[in-house]
Amino acid sequence: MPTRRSSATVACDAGLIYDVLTDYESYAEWLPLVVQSKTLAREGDLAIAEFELATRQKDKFDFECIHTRNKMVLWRTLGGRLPIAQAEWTITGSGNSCEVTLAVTGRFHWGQFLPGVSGFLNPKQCIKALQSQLSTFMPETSTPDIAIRNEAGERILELAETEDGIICWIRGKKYILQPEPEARSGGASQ
Amino acid sequence: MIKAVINVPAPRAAVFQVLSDFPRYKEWVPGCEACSVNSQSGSTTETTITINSMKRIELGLRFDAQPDTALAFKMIKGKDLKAYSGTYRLMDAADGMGTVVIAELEIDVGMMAPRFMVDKITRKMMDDTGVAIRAHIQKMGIQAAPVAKPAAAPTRRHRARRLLRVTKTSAGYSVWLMGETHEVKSAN
Repeated sequence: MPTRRSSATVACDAGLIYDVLTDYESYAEWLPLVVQSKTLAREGDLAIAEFELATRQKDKFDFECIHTRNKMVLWRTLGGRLPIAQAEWTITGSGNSCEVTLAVTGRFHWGQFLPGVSGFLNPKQCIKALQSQLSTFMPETSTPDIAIRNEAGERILELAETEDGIICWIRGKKYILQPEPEARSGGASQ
Repeated sequence: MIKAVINVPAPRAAVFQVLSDFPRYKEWVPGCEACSVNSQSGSTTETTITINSMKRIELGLRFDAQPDTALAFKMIKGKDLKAYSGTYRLMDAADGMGTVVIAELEIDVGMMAPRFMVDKITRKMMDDTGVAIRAHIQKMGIQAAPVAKPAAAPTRRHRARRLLRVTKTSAGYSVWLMGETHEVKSAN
């Protein structure tokens, strides 16, 4: 079975990459073609995840996901017409510089000729998308100092989501925004 | 090996009970005409099962159980198939309201039919089994009860996350939004 792979070096710790890769509720935010994703079951280092793709039929695919903390995330296809047998994310390196690799092993299936499905889990695109997603996270610090260093130019506005609320910097001044009570309880304000 | 995920809105123990109640297979397993227990020793049960689907076949099947967790089966006797084996693995649904069954089935009919055709039939059998077990459990009046969820693993939700950054540069503005950078040049 053919295997396609792509790698990149990212400036963050392995724990962050692992957390993003095992957060199956959030794949729609960043993995190309995924419009919805969720964890069906999770026990220890094993999870069953479901991805819905942006195809006309809104195809859903289930994966058996095997995790090795901060090192590897392996997906094996469970049924469906996906021309992919498995996808393996590996994380190597330490400190704030890691290499992440995606190796996708194909299998013959008529689904490979269908638009949409055939482009799912393109290693190069997925690695690029992962890099974008990782870039949204701050370095772990005890205080939510979101100042960006080594940035050319004057920082006008910056927004970040933290446990303390939304931190907003406007021309170097810091503000902390909290959700309104009705928003906290799930209601939307008009 | 054909794999499938079956969502069953019932507690794991109840689903396992249905899967390991072999004499009652004829009540719900598609095409099953009879299933009798020949012997039982510890977690191993040997049965004879008659299935009338594309063709009427009789198989000797050995089941190995891990209570509430997994049930493996393998053909030990039969003239019609070369091999027949599989597993049912059970996990609590992440939403706490049911069971996720990961079913695996391998059928080898030898030279009788091409592989792709056997796989297609196997896939349909698994889909039908999923529908049948859900219907059987509903008929029995078993309902999903919320189960205590294990403590969730730490996720990125606990990490600070940058959403937007606007920087004024000599050429104009640089807008970084959720991982993508857009350059905005000054009009003059």
